[in-house]
Amino acid sequence: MKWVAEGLNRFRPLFAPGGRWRVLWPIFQAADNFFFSHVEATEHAPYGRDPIDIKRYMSLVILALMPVFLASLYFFGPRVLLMLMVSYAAGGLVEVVFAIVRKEEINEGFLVTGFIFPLILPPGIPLWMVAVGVIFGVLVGKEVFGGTGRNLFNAALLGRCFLLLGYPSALSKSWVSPHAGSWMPWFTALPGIPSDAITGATPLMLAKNGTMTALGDLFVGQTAGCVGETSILAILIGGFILAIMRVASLKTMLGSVLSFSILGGLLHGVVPALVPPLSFNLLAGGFLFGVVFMATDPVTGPVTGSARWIYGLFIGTVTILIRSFSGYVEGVMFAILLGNIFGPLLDEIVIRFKVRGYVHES
Amino acid sequence: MRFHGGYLPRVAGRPSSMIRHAPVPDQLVIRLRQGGMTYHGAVGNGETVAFGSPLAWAEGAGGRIALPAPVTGVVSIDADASALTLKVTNAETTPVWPRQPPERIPAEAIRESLACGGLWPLIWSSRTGGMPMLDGSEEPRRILVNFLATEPFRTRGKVVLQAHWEQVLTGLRYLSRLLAEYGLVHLVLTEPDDPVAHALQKETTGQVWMHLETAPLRYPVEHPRVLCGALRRGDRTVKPDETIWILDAQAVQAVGACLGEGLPLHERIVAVGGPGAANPGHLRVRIGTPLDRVLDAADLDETRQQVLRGGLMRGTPVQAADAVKYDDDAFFVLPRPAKREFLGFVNPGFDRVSILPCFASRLTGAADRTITASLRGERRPCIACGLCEEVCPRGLLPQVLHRYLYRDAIDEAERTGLPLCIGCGLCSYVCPSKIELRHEFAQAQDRLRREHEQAQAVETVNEQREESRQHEKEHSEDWRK
Repeated sequence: MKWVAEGLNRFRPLFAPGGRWRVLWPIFQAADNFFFSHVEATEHAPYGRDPIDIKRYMSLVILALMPVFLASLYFFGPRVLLMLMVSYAAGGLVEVVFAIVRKEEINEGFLVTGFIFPLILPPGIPLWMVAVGVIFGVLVGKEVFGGTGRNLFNAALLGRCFLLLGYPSALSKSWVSPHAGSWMPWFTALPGIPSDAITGATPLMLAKNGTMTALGDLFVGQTAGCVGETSILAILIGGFILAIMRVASLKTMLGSVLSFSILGGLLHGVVPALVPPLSFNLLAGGFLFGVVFMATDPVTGPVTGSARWIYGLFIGTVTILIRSFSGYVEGVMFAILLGNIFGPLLDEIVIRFKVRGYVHES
Repeated sequence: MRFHGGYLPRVAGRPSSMIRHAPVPDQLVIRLRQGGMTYHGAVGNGETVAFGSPLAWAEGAGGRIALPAPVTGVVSIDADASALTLKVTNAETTPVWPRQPPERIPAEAIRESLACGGLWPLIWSSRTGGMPMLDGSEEPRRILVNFLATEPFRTRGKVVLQAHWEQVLTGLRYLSRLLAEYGLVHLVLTEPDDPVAHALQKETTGQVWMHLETAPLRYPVEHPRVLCGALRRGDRTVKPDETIWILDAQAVQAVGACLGEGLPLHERIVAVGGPGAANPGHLRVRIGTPLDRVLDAADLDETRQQVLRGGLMRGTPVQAADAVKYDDDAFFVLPRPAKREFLGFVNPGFDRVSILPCFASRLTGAADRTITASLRGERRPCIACGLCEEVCPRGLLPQVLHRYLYRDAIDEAERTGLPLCIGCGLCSYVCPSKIELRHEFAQAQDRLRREHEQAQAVETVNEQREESRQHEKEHSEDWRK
């Protein structure tokens, strides 16, 4: 602790105004504020403030993602770690370059985007695609809008959407059957995926052809699929952490699950050939991961509390519609991106209603 | 009564219910700016004033309000005429007016005594948004007496009640004389099964004009506008144009002392608290007592502490040279940040309390000990976490207002309820992005007010022009005839 402070203080003059590396000040500042909490005196009342800050907020999201991350390491091996490193390195580079150009601080929001991004990709995807995807997502999804807090789309989802449209075969064929318990991949799978591990299909694809995966496997995560979406158990633990710490909007989560369940149940009753049973539909694919970790991204959803209910209901509905009646087997990504577009509109509706109350009040 | 939002942070340094007596110092300092009004001295340099006689006057509310002398002493006027210094010759309090029983005193006389006793500004009226009119044009249908103080840490009504039970009840009897016909007095307390509430209930049984109300312990329920809104929402018999007056326990006690015992406003019970306070508690102090006689020397150490006049949420910094004012009821001692914390964002947080249940203090129920006069985080863009919307006592959408004001859309902000903001400061307090929402809204409200005034001025000028044109026209027509 002391030596960290000493080290930082030794390099501070280099980055400070007038120093040789002054352009790189945001990097130094980020490191400095990472180790030692930022202290800034208040200038306006209230003079004391709540201890919650964005660093704590984002680290709680990372904490909630940890069970998912550990589960994916267990099922898909060390390659996940490699993907995470690539994602952080490539996306972080974009973030840092923009911070330097804009002369702003490096934002913690990227830590979550960079963490989530590898978790929504197939485990067998080439690493350079991870880099391309995250760069596109951060650049187009976030930085062109002005950075964290001003972005319209969830950056990670936009990156994945880009990859899906740009490299459809890689995104739909890089599935790996989980090799839990086998220690070999930890040593051999680093450079690439052994060809015998590549599998053709995820549970949702199999279901289209009439092969149902056991619900137990789906729940634990013993299936093929995107890195983070397979283990429902881990996702539920993460969702529980987010819910009890009230970091993510419970309204969005409940709204999505509610509309998905009602519509999914109804559709299964009407067209059982197209729509698998609800229990399967809920556990298979990325719906729960998307709802718990991506739809609840506060920035890209609607900003008002009541609109978050509608937003959740919308996402659940669109997901089940895409899954049932379109060529795509998975729908949650498009549903959330579509929801991002409708977010401001939903806000506008809520604000209209609220304004009526204000007129009444005054 | 029904309340929106609100939040009460648990902060260390809660004042105990004991009231200590601060001795009357040799010199008192009376500022001539008090409660947003400027008073003009009524006495000359070197004159001796008796206890209770007016030191200064201010015009306002359709009448004159006095600052009564809190002691007998010799006046000297400060060089810039912004304050008076009273050299105390006799600190004894003697009745200034003869006592008149509440059943027989005319309302006119009550108003007169309260204005001369310096008490009138302690009454809040829903019609004016400040003190009520003195000319008798206002007869409140309801008087709300608020025994709650949720803001950390204001003088608690219960502390006042325990010390001045009789005076508070006397005050209530006199106040009810100002009510309109069939008017009601509402007493706002925390919970009905509290011993103090029981005692009050016993005392007020049979008096149908007194109602007991309960309110949750969430800041800012004591705010007059919030109380008014809650009363209107909870009680459908309250008509929208009804005048409501609001007083706190200490104001009612002062009314009781003023009319029941003939003593004008001369002392205050102030709560001294906060994590930096050396000796948190309630103090009975004479008005005008310099702060260094109220607070410990350690509290006033400028390098280590920041002393706020008022509570944590709305208090503003004061200097040691300042003195107790006629409407003071709290001083909050907030430590200045000492050092940067190593990896603070992963600290389990047994010593800090947040609105989000993400610190370990939630499990232990500990109070916040690490609060300092700092932001406790970095300024970031709004991430729309929704905490401000959750706590807003007016049911506003601070995050949306912030977005509007960020892109300078002040008209949209006005339509979305900006004028309803009461500046309670909760949104700024809870914001994880450390956005100065309260300040931003106050500035925008100021701007709106100025724009409206300008628009009004332009309108009157236009009207006048129109009038004179009409006049000229008529005149010329007359001529032609």
